[in-house]
Amino acid sequence: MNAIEIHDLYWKYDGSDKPIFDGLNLTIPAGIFCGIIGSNESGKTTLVECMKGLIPNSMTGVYRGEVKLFGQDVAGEDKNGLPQLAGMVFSDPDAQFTTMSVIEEIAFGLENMGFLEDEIGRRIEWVSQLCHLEGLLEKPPYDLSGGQKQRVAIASVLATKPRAIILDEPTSMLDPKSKDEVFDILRSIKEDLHMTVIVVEHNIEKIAELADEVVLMGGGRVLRHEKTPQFFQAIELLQANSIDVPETIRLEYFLYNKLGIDRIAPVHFDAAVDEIKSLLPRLTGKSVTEAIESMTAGRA
Amino acid sequence: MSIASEGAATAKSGMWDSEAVGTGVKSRRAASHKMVKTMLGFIPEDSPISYFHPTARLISYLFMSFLPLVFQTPELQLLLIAISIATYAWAGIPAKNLKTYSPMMVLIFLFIGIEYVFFPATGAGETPIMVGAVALYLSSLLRGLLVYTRVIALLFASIVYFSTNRERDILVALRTLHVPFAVSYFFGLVLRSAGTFIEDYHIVREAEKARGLDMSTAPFFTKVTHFPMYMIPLFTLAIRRSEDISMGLYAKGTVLIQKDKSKKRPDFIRTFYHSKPADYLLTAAITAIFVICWIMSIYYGAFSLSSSIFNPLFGSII
Amino acid sequence: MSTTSMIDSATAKKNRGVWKKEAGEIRKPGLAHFVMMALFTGVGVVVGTFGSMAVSLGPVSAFWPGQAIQSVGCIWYGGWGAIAGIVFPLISNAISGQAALPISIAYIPGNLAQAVVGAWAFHVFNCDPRLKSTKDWVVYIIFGIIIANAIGAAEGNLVLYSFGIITSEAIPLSFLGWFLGNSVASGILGVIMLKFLSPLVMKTKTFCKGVWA
Repeated sequence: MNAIEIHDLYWKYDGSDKPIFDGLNLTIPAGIFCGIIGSNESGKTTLVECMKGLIPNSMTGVYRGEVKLFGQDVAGEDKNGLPQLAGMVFSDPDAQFTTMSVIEEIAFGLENMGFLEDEIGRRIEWVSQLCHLEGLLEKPPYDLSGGQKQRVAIASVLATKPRAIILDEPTSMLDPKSKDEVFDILRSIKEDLHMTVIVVEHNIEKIAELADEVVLMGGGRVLRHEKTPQFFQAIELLQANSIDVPETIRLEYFLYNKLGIDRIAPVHFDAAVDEIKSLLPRLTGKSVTEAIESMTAGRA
Repeated sequence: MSIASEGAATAKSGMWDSEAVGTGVKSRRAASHKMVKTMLGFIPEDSPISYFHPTARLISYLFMSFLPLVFQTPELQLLLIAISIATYAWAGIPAKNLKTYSPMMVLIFLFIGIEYVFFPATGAGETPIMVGAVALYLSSLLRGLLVYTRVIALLFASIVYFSTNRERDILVALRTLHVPFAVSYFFGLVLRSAGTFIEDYHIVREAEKARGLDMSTAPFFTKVTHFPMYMIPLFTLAIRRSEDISMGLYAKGTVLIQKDKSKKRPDFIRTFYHSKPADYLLTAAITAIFVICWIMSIYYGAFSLSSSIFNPLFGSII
Repeated sequence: MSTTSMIDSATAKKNRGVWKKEAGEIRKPGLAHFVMMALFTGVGVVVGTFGSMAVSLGPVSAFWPGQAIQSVGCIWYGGWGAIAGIVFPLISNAISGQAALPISIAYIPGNLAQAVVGAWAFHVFNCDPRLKSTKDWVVYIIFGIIIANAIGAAEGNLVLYSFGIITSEAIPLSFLGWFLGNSVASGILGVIMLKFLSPLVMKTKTFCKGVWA
């Protein structure tokens, strides 16, 4: 079963002249980490809101087509099971923390779903270890940093053990250290929980590192949707859509062009560095060490 | 140990256990200097007042809030004030914190004093005592004393309650009293958002200072006319956040009014609190005191101003 | 669409005013309204507390911009704003020490009037919250500021008199001080809120054309 199936989606906000989506199609398999990237106002946030069922259930507009979340139509009659299928984390940490302590915040979603108090306690313990919230459970929101608040938001979603977690720019309002904290948790979710993760992000390097598939949005359309290594082959398309392709990948394809190599470059940083190191001798005719020394000679 | 059992264990063997009263609490208080934030300040984590269930504390506060209206004598109001201060001290909060309210008490004194001196509530045919050009009516002064002590007693009841209870305690109390979830959640969200807006307000102030505008030294009228300009960013943030928050609540499957009334909404935080015999005793005692005093006051004319020990000091004018 | 029909459509829209629903428009109260009510109450708590502390005269504040929150909140959010207008003074009075619980509860009818009068007038006289015309300004000043605060001050002074905090002889002066203090502060804030924020608020789905939606 696919996590997300979108067929011929049309969506226009009330009061808006133009639709955001007009005939959008997209399928995301279950169990993968999918990154959604694109320039501002490309429709990324609206897309994930459709996936979660926020559109059309809590927004007004013209809606046509079909969006299925693990086979359930998000606009169908029965919406009760939707929160348990997918949880959502938004970009503003403050907007998601509506109670007066971390433990209450995590318990809140579980109470909404009717879990018994004992089970709630067990899940809080589990998720607080996963998201490194030990020692923070009794803290009020104003005592937490942005990164801590986002970890709480992720924890409160994970506690419900959804089949998928959707994150809309979860690190956009965070400092670099907090961003790393959030990405570490996303890595844990991917590697340990094997949950479907769908992330809207501007941090392309992290997406390249973590994602199994990447979707490029532009003007309300899916411009490209590939597995991550294949995705970054289309460097010109990405740059035309204001995507900052990681330097290692750009260098790899630059070297491939120079050497007439036609293959898919590795995208993980370490693998990319190793690939570049392996290509340098072919390009320069020198050993790796000599090639690097000669390139950096004039800069000291 | 799981979170649930840890909470329950704390409730059983910690500050809420009946055996904890006495030396156990004293030694814990001596050992623990950790303070927890309340609505109006901080309270020691192991404060003896935490022994009582939040519901017992809320009911006590409600009755203490209305008891001053039953008594028509300044001495009983002073007694209630003394009880409030004693409770405050017993809770482990430094008494010097009450100094924060001194300006308010002085202002109230001046306000009521001016009212009852220059706009006296006089008895029929009463002769005033002239102090220069000012006519002092003893009955008016006595009534002013009663009103002042009553207002302070009412104020102290609120100060003690909000200084010794956290937001969570208030919400647990409301939920234990079967206040609808929508109402208790509303109060929680109000308190949460008020805190956020105070943070935003300080950020706006700091941003102004960073651009060279320091309103703290500005004249009063400038401050007044400038005050609304803080509201624009605060409201804009409120409007934007409301959409984000409501989407977040929807995403968490929040339902304010449950369609299936037979299904009780779980309440995890309430499991941390257990009612004890002392809670029932306190609630029963304070309810009984209030009802008895009210009946005595209404039907038997007890606690009237004419029977006050201050009346002879004012020439038995009432 | 021809020019004539465009002009006719614009005229018809103007005559309908902002309070009438568009053809096919569906408005339902929901979670968003509840959240907005809570946030608005939170803002009111902050404004009411800081305003009270700014110039406090014991049980009465000489500068209380909270009435603007009440009045404008009810204009924008209908019944939700009215509830916010009643609830936030209870909390801000407790925090600032301005009034004890029984007195705050007794203030509820006055607070309700301060919230509702302006909104009622805006609906009856078909006024625009953006204060676009002279009529909008006049209605807000007369109903939203003067009449609302007169009722509020009258009820509030009745409460103070009932609790013995003021004598009957002091009522006129106390009423005047209360009325002027509220009117000036909330007049300034209310006008700014309506003028600058109404365009933003009216685009949101929580803006209420009726009582609850």
